[in-house]
Amino acid sequence: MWYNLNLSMSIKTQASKNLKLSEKLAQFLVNHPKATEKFPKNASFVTFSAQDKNLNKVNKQLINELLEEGKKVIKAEETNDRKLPWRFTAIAS
Amino acid sequence: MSRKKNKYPPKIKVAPSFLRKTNEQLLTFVDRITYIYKVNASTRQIVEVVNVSYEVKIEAKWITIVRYDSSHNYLHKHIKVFLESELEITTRDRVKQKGDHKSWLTWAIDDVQKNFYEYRRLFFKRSKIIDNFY
Repeated sequence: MWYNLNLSMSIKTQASKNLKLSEKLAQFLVNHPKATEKFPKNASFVTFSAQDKNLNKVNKQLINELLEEGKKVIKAEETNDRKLPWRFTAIAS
Repeated sequence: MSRKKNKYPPKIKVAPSFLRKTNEQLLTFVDRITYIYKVNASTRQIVEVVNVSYEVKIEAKWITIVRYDSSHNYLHKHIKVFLESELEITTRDRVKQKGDHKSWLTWAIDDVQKNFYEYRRLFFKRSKIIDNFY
């Protein structure tokens, strides 16, 4: 399946950057089980960086792809706040 | 001598309830990491690694190519042999054995995150298919 996308970064770079974010997110979620209790159970997380605008631009396209598949999406935005390092937003189609 | 009545009511054992936590994270259009684990609802302790997996999307279908679970009370890895087969290799080789379910969960997530590209590369090689995205 070929994707007709106008990506400003390669898939490998996107994966590598998202992995670093997802590692931080995973640690946070495992240590704070209440953080996502209110969200739908089978939702997919898409991470957004506090600094990398280019990554966030390509990750917006991931959200669109997931919504088209009928998936529930949670946008996980990294913040610079030590007390609340992540902000979660449920995205509706 | 008459037996004294026990003034305390009998203890009723309540089975612990568990919460199942599922987190699915999309890395790209064709890669995703999923982790599912059970948590004791009252103590909030992680009691089982149900699934930590790396999936790739091939022809519009998500395929799990490596996964971890602790279903038999130890952490082990399952590796899908190749695309056209349902066969999996199950191993404890180079898999963390010491620790508790929480440390196994974080180790498994860490392993998938660090090695996902190698798992992907080898899977595509065994399946004799070209990776169009990497």
